[in-house]
Amino acid sequence: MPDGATNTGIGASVKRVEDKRFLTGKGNYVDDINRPGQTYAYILRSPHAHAKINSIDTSAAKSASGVVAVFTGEDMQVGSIPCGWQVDSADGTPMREPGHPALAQGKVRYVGDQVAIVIADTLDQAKDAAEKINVDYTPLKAVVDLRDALADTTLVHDEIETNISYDWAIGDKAEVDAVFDGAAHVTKMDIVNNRLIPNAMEPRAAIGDFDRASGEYTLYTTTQNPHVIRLLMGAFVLSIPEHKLRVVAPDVGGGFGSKIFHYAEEAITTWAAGQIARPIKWTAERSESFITDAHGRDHLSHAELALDANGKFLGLRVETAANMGAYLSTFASAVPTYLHATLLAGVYTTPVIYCNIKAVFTNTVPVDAYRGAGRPEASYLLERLVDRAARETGLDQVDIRRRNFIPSDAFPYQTPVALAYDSGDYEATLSSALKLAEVDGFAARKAEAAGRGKKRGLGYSTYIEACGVAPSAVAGALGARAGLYESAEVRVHPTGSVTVFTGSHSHGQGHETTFAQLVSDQLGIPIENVDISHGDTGKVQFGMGTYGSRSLAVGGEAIVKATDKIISKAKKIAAHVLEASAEDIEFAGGNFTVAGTDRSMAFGEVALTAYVPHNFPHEELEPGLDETAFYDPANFTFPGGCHICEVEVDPDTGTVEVVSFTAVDDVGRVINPMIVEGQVHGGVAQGIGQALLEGCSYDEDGQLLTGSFMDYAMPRAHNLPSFKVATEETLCAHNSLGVKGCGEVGAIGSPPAVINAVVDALADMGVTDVAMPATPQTVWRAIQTAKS
Amino acid sequence: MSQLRYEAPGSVDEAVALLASDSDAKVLAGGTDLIVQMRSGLRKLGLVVDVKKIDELMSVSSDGGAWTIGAAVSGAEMNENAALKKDWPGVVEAVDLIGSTQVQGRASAGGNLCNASPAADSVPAMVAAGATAVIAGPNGRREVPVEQVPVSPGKTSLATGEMVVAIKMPAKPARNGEAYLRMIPRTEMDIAIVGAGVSLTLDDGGTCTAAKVALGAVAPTVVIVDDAAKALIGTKVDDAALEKMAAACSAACKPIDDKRGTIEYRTKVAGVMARRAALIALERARSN
Amino acid sequence: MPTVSMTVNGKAVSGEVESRTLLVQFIREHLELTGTHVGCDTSQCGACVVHVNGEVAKSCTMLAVQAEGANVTTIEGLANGDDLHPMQEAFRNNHGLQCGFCTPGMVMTAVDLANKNKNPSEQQIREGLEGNICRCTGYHNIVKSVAEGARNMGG
Repeated sequence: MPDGATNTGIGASVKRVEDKRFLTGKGNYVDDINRPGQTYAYILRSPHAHAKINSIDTSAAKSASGVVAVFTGEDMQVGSIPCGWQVDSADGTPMREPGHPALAQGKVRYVGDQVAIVIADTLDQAKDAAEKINVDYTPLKAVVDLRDALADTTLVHDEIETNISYDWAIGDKAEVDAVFDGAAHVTKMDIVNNRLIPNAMEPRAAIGDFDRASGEYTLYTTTQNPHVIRLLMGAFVLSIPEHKLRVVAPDVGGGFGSKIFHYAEEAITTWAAGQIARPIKWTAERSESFITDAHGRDHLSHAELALDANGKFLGLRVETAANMGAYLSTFASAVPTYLHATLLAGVYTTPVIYCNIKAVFTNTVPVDAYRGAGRPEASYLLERLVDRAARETGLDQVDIRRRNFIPSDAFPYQTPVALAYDSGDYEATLSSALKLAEVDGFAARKAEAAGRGKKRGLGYSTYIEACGVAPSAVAGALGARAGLYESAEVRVHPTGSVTVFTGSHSHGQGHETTFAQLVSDQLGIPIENVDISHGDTGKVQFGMGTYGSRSLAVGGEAIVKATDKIISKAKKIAAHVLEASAEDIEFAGGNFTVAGTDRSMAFGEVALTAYVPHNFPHEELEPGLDETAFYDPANFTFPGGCHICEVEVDPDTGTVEVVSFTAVDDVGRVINPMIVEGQVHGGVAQGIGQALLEGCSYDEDGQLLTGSFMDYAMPRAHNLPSFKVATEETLCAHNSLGVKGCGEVGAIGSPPAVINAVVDALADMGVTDVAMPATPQTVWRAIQTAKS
Repeated sequence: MSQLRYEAPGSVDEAVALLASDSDAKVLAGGTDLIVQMRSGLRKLGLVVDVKKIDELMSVSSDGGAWTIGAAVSGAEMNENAALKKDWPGVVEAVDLIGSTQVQGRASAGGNLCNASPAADSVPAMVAAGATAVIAGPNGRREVPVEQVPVSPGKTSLATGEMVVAIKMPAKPARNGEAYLRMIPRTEMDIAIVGAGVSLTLDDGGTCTAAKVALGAVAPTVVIVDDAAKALIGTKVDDAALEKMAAACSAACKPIDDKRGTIEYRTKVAGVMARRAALIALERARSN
Repeated sequence: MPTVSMTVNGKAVSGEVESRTLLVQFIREHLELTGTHVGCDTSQCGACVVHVNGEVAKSCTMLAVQAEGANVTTIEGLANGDDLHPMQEAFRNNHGLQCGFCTPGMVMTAVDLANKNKNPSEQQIREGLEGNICRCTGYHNIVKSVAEGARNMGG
């Protein structure tokens, strides 16, 4: 199948098409764009975590030098920013979904909440004028800690009379409780999944533009899914019909989930552009990103695992409180439920599982999907629990996992928590990882480290994830308010070059390369002749965007389907020219041939004929060669694998060094190994970041303490080792490419491997648990506590 | 903020005159602290005096073994001066710890000192090594031990119109070694929660005859721990002496409790860092 | 307002700026060289790294007026026409970039690192990149890129 001549087909590590522009400074990010007559916006934000707004005096700001307009919530009376997923509580009541105004309406609910927009000829003028706005606040008590919020003594939203958005459950509690009653051993843990700040390197930005002649709005924005923004903002917030609203996501500098959501600034700049009939640019400063980009994770769980005398898992019981922040962001409600609780079977045959989720409002930045979204929380919880269970029962870490793996001949496998896994081979990824990590030599390395006063540890994680988000039928049953298919248009030009319009958006994933490989491979044409167009609702028919490792498994399949249609139509054209029946036309190596003859047409000739249809039988064959497909998968895809981390701990200071990290993942068929490895590297780095470095913290008044790169530790080159990465392949059973997805595996599998390694290193000192992030002080404290 | 006025004088006298003209004037050396503070709105800047155009502040010279290091000389330049690095490796390493490569190219020991951060890396190292600061002002020049420059977080003993023009390092004593180590909490970029500078001198028999131990980030200003020095003097710097020194360091700490490190942790780690720095200093003293 | 003059990518340029204007603002807004990026406001991320008089510098940590008379090179000045600089080529060859946002600063830092150390070890590369944050790559392929780029720069 690989195109031998150019080696750009499926399976080839094709160098990226997009790199040259990025390497020469020609990338085109939102902040690089300037529109004629453009103004600049500064958004005045709440300094309080919770306060009543008594009045806002903008008069001095309005008359300040260069100011074009100032708007507050009073001026901007529009729809509420919607949440995309409906979750019902266990008692059947729908989730409580308080209003989420773009500009505050009478109250602010987190530090960073939008209060006013100041628009001026220059950014400095806008900033200077914002200092002249006088907001009279009555500060209110803020509720910041999840536990405090559950007590409902201080309410984030008075009108719903509780801080709990929903109280949801999956599984039969009575059945699970009964299993625990008869278990030989029960392992119990309290587990915190630390709150993270995604911090894509490009700060969010938005330019709102309005064409007075046509009445059309254009929004340039740093988003992962422009069509979804058009839908959410156009239909729900601003009431602008789709044909009058264009959303453009040009080059976007990383997303990791944080750029999925519809943000207030998008609506504010678009709406205000209409008010002043001039373009408005807003670019977040990093300190602003810290307090306005949706944060990630932030789960507080109690988990219990029941085992029989042979170490076989009998049942799992989990109670999780998930922080939603002050408002329900676009995906927020789905993260702890459909993306977390449904993953709690992991790679194991645990027959019964019960999980209760309470989604809780606090006076903090909204929390939503961040790389992995729910699945890292699930795999962390499960893999920490399994590690603890092994230690408590005296079983070997590898052995306890093998005893409980879903065997490779058991697929399709129905878990007790809704998902049906289609394929996998967990023994294959485990045994491959054991070799790659040189686990056999660990004892010797541990002894050598001990000679230097260091403690070495080895940690495992055998994880699974559900991605390729999502089959619309399943998503709909789970409460999604939209379908989650993907679309593609393959447009063959008269001279045989091809433009592919995809609803997926690339912001680092290399779609312009991988997708071109697919089409080049399928059509047998050089990769240089294929262009991938994405990120503009004015060009691309429709799309659900990029998240949940869905681009290849859903977006790629849509491209394959559209290309199939191209080939089918091209066969008819070739049949017409070659005077044969379409059924007799064979397509291979870029040529259409009448079977069993040497009569043949090249792809380019067919393309030209399609657009120069001098003698087409038009009642049977239309001119042109341009096809669209929408693909809706039958199921999620289920990548999985084994991560092994080796650490060295300095017991005097608590400093942890990751000395080796091995990831063997099954992501299905690999289209471009170089890109897949890069995705795994990045995910693992974020996972190690969560485990060792990154922790978002607020003080009790709701002020963010980790509000800059000086206070929030991003992984840097010297914090990380080079990674050992490999893949094992079982094909996805329900898509034609056999692909599963690779964007999130690194971030999902790695955190428990790191923490399990730290615990392993310190086990002989009596340490049984270390919280994330395992900073030197946290580790040191765990050692002191174990000593005393 | 929009009132910022930038001046780049060519001589110390001009710089002093400018600084004397405005009590809120700020010296801009590398700008690695000042410009960040300006951007965050922490400092509303008026007059800013860029001293990087003054030759005296940008040069390193040695006279009879003693060193004069211009206050605006960058860490990168100090690191490239092999003779200086050979004499005072601990000081050079400490200055080199200020920020990343791109910052090292601009950040200076003088700037680090005058920023008066309790966690300034170069200060404990310079104090342990016995460095002095040359200060120029409207009334001429004076020279003080570096520990007398910062008086509290963000505040220095410099009067209006005064500026640090150079750091002086004494001639290197025979069989002296010094070192600086720090602990960064890994919750953030590169601000120490404990920094330990140790200098010690041995006699021919390997007995410690002089020592100085200085700690950073464990009190509002650098702490000179006399008891730690005493624990080393007269010993062969063996385990028992090191234990005693570490304990003295821990006892001398008056740290704050903040999200970067609790009192207990900082106190304990101060001893660990001092001990490890002393071992490096010992190794260096033995080979000098 | 002060006038500032400097040479950027071999071209003499000048412009009126406010004293508070940062070098990076001058480069991006006045010169419209948007390859140099702003990723933070505390001089941590390194997306804005350029060369000033041959030395690596964060252009968000310098006032434009401080660069008066200086020779500045940005990412746009690195390639020779259509031929990528060996460091740029090495990043492409080793998949040393994903979203591309940190890339200009990363490449400018890497070129300086290789200028100063013709055969850097992995450890030296990792420490040399301390001032540049990448969120995409986990640095693995950046480290490989820098090593290869340094070799191909004639080390």
